[in-house]
Amino acid sequence: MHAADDDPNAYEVFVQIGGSGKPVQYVGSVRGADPVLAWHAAKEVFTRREDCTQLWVVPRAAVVRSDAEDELVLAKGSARRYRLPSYPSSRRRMRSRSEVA
Amino acid sequence: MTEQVEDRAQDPRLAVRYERWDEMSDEYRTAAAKVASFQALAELVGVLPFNEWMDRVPDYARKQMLVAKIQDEVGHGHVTARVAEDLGVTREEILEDFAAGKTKLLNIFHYGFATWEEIGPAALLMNSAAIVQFQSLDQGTYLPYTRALKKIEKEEGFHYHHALDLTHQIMQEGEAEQRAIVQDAFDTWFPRLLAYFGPPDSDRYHDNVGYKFGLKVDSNDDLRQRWIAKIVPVFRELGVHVSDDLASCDEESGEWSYVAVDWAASKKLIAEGGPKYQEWVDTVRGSLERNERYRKAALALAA
Repeated sequence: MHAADDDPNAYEVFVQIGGSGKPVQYVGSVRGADPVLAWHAAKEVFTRREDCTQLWVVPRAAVVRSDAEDELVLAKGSARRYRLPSYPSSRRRMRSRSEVA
Repeated sequence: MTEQVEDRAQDPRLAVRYERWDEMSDEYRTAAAKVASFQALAELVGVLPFNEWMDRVPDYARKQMLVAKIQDEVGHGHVTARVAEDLGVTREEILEDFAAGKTKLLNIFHYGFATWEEIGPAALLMNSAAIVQFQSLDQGTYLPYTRALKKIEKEEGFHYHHALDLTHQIMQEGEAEQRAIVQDAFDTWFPRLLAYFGPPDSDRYHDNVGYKFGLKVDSNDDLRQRWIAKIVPVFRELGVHVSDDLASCDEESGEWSYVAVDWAASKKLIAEGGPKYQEWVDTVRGSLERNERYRKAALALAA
């Protein structure tokens, strides 16, 4: 057995729930002979409850996704303290304190 | 409860979780495919006893709700079959193996409903058990499956409230005869649902492949306890009598004791087929035959 990564009938499904200001999020996949049939399959399966404002299907083969080895690079964001608002704020507080002293 | 969450955070079985494309052992892939395909079949066959009642619903709003439930369940079959398909088990295989008598069906889906009044309490027991089961399984290690379960749970919540309302209506507005059917249905279905959670924990349940891989998160007995604690008060509130023989709670320990499950009979039922088993096999086979041409066209496999 192998993961059907090359399944030409697989489409990844994205929905926007909760209004037009919300992000369009990944929810799962469907199979279909063409994009329109896949879109209808996705509509039946994934838009049964909350109001949906966007429904996208994307051929699986078109998705460029990260691998396990990319994880370190992708997780670096929070390690760069100087990008976070608390970093300049703490510098400012320290400066104020030293001025008082 | 807090204790349990801490346990889970530290449980080595649940430390590594997998996406579809991650490296995994063949053993893990097979086990994950088995869990997903087993549920896909349960969803698709489990809807048939309800489907039978679609043309006999004695109320318009109730019919709308029943149709919605039936569509939901088929949708659950689709999302879990998708998970299995990506692991190498096609939905055709899932259905064809069942039609050929190769796969076993959960005990509760071997029966039908004799009356409209039976559906409410039976569905309430089934839905509450499924919710307890899914809320445990969704903590498991195969992420596409846990995501599918979270979608399913939202809809199961609706099925639960539909069944609760239906039972409530009969208990409040029904004739004595109808209330008696609800009571009978509870007494009949409660032990079936006890069996649904699977055999009692032996000292070797940790060796179970699904459990070892963290696909199955909690033990059968833990889930059974959790379900009884949730559902018995609900039925008492509805005015259904729950005899101490069927289930009773030890005030001090909070542990429930319950009627002994006839495991030999349950095993026999699953092996030989219950009252509706053959009918469901024929329904699935007939559907596969009738839809073959369209199925092939829809998947662009037609020659």
